[in-house]
Amino acid sequence: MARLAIALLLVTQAGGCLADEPGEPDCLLDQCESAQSRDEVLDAIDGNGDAIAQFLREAVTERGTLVGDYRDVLDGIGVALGCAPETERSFVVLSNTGFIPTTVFARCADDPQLASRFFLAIPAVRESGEDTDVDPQVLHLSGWDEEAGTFRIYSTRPTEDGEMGVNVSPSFCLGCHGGPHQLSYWQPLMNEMTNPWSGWNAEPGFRSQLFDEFLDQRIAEGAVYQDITAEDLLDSASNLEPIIRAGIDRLNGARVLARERAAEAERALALLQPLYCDESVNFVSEIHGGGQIRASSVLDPTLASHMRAAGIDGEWPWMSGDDLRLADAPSQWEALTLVPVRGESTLAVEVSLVARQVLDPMRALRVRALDWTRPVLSEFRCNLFRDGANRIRGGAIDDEIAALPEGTATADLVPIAYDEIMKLDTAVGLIALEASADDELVAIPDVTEPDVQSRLTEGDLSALAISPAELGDRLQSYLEAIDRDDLWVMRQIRACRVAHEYAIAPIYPDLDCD
Amino acid sequence: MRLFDRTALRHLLACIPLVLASCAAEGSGDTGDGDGGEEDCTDGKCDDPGATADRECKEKCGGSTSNACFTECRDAAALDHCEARKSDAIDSAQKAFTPNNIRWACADVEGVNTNGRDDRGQEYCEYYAVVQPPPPAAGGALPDPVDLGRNKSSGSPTPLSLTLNEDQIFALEDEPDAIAGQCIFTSWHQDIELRYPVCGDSNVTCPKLTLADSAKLPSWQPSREYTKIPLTDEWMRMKVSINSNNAAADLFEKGLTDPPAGDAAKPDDPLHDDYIRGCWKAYKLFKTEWRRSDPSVCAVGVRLAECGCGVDTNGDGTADITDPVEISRGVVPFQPDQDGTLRLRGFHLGTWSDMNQLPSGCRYLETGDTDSTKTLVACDLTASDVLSSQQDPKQKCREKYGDNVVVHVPVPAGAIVCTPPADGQYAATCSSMPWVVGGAPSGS
Repeated sequence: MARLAIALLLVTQAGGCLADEPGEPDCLLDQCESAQSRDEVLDAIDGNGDAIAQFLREAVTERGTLVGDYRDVLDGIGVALGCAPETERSFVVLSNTGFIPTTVFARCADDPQLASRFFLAIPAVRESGEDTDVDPQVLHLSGWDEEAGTFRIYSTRPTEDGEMGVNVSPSFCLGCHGGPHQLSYWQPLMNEMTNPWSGWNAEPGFRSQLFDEFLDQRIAEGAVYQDITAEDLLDSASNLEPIIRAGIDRLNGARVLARERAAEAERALALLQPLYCDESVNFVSEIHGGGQIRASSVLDPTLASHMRAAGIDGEWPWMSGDDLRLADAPSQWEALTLVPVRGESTLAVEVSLVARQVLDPMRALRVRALDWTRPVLSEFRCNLFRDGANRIRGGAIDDEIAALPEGTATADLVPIAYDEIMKLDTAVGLIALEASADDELVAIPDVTEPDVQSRLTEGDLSALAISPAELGDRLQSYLEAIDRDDLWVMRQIRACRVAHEYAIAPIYPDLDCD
Repeated sequence: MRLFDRTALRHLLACIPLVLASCAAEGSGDTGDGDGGEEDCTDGKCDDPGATADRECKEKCGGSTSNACFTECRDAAALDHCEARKSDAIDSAQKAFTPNNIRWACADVEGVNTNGRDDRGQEYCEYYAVVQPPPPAAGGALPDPVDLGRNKSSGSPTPLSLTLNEDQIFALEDEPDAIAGQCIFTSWHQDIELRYPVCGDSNVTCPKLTLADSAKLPSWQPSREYTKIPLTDEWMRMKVSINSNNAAADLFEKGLTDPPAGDAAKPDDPLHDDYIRGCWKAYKLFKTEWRRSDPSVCAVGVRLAECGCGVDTNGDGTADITDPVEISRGVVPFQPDQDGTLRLRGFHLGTWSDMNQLPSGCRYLETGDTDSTKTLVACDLTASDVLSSQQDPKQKCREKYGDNVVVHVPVPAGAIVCTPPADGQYAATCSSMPWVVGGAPSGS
């Protein structure tokens, strides 16, 4: 039973969202909608500069449909991309909808940069008589529009005439890919971006963790599934990971470029939100019960980056290691799996702001030092942002904005907005969450501790101020003291949150959130 | 069955390196330094898991390293390291032992870091970053490419961090997926002096490091060639003394001799585990049980010794080379060969799924070698990678590629024959391929 429970944790899609079970789908938002004419499609893609739009302009019928199935679409888009058929690879994950396999395709797959311009997912299955097989006409597609600096998204569904109806910019995708903070754009998703990629096919080269056991053999024997996972096509999740990372880099770069645009409060807030609120989450798993799991499960990985950028090097082991070592699991089936951690796309924004000198590393450290035993899903940090954002929208920094010289960019506004966000409403009024000494910061391991709560309420931060070096020491001690039971509790607490708040949450059948 | 004469076998075995190579370290935590010699790490300057364990045990035991307290403490730490390495090698998805190869990732284990000095490059594979920064001012002169964290023949490694001004940051940002640098991974043994054949007769004529034809060139870089970076030994040969042909042969010989054994009266003695015995051998020899390479290599040596294995040169099913010295030099022969041919420049680099493939973004660099052809790898660093890792691009190389650039030590499965001794403590578990510690997976 434990084995089954643990095994039932799988993952979600990378290039698409919302796998369809066989039978009539429950259509979410515009999931089942399609354009009714060629003109409608062309109008919808007017100005789109991605390879999918380029393909659609050539291929869409007068009825607003596409003829054929995924193969025709892939080949057509491949021409637009300049990526030959032999560069195509497929990657399979078991989704969080009944373990339906979702297959993600990439072209120019040997070059992660090129490959990251386009993703196609086949997320649905269909029943055909006695058989269940992947539906080759339900497609979720995303293509990078270089000019616009964004991914354009599309979906297709089978029509009664056997063609594929086209939906341009389907909003249903953002339920997963936009996250609970409702980002208005699609971002690449790969729930687990580190070994062992639970729920993904990781062969060859890596032994899959649970994939083979939970892949529905009826689907696996289907003709379409066999085609899309043929030996010369199917690749390991380990090779999708760099493609997804390249896609995240691509999007992140475009996002952070917004700092060069004219100073505007909302732009500044959009850049700062990732420091405080988890726009995305990822999941890490212990490797085959051997005690090795990513340290990001316990410590925010940007801490090391900011410390280095600030020139603080206390020679702590935590700064240079990616992995945490625990005692081995009692069995492989009791491995710690799918521990929610801070999303790669979210922390990439933060790292970028520091790397591009929009925020100095000490400012970023000041945020990370708050509630630091919660590297992800800290209500304190996110509420700090929400409250600050509300004050800003209510005019709290209007005077500073007005005083900025003409032509000031958003980058110059970011520190001003940051300073406003880093204020706490206390019994003595709004106070800055900063130490009195310039070379110290307010560090709070756990904001829910009663003593800390009372200090924050009273506005007494003096006992919470420490140097970055001392913070480093405390982080090291904390990491050394963590054991499997501690991490198990963290996993349960975070998983309960994620299960309620993130559409991409995997299935956690062993979770008791009551 | 194939027939081999001894000369031919030496040629064959030269392509099959060595198992125990990595065990041949010179001392606890010894990494060698930039000047190619050994360095005593007992003063704590080196920071790797072995030196860390030494330091911690010394502190715990009243400052002494020669009392029973220290020994017990250090033994316990070694066992922890061995369990961790076993987890990597056998329990994880990346199997260290296959019928035809021993494998480990080029990336160093956690705990190998830059504290005190840069100790990265412990696994018969050294790596560093090369970055072509944009001009400091728009339209200005292109600076030279910068090498970061490269071990040198003398002195400390080159600096780790990159300093970029605002203009350079903007330039990198404007072209995030342009290839702004390279990660270099090399397995060229430290003591092999012959230059790459592509260099011809002189280092002056060595080709330069060049981006792949398909690489997207940044607008500030007019040519794919890094003109200041030739494929010479200074740039491309490993510098750490333990990463050498001689060390490999020495270790192989020692690994084949006197394998450790668990206490037969204690069923739960960890030394009853095949991998742990090999790892323990590495610890007892050189206290390098914390590495990836040494324990794996020693585990194979231990099993070969326990299972009465030798090399069959004439295909009659009987081992006719059983002496550890002969075997070690048969497997890691002196280079170049008697006829002047270099047959083993270094260990083969590949990836987990295929020893002749590399992870996405990486390619082999042409060295001109006809044997030992895959010892030099270059992997792309995008402008975005450079931007996000300015403090230590070499670490980006480790994180992005190091786990999947895999050192392969081919095992001459067809030439090994084993006759387990009747009274061998672990003879009962000698399979037909005892060097596949932990069982035989599929694949190479």
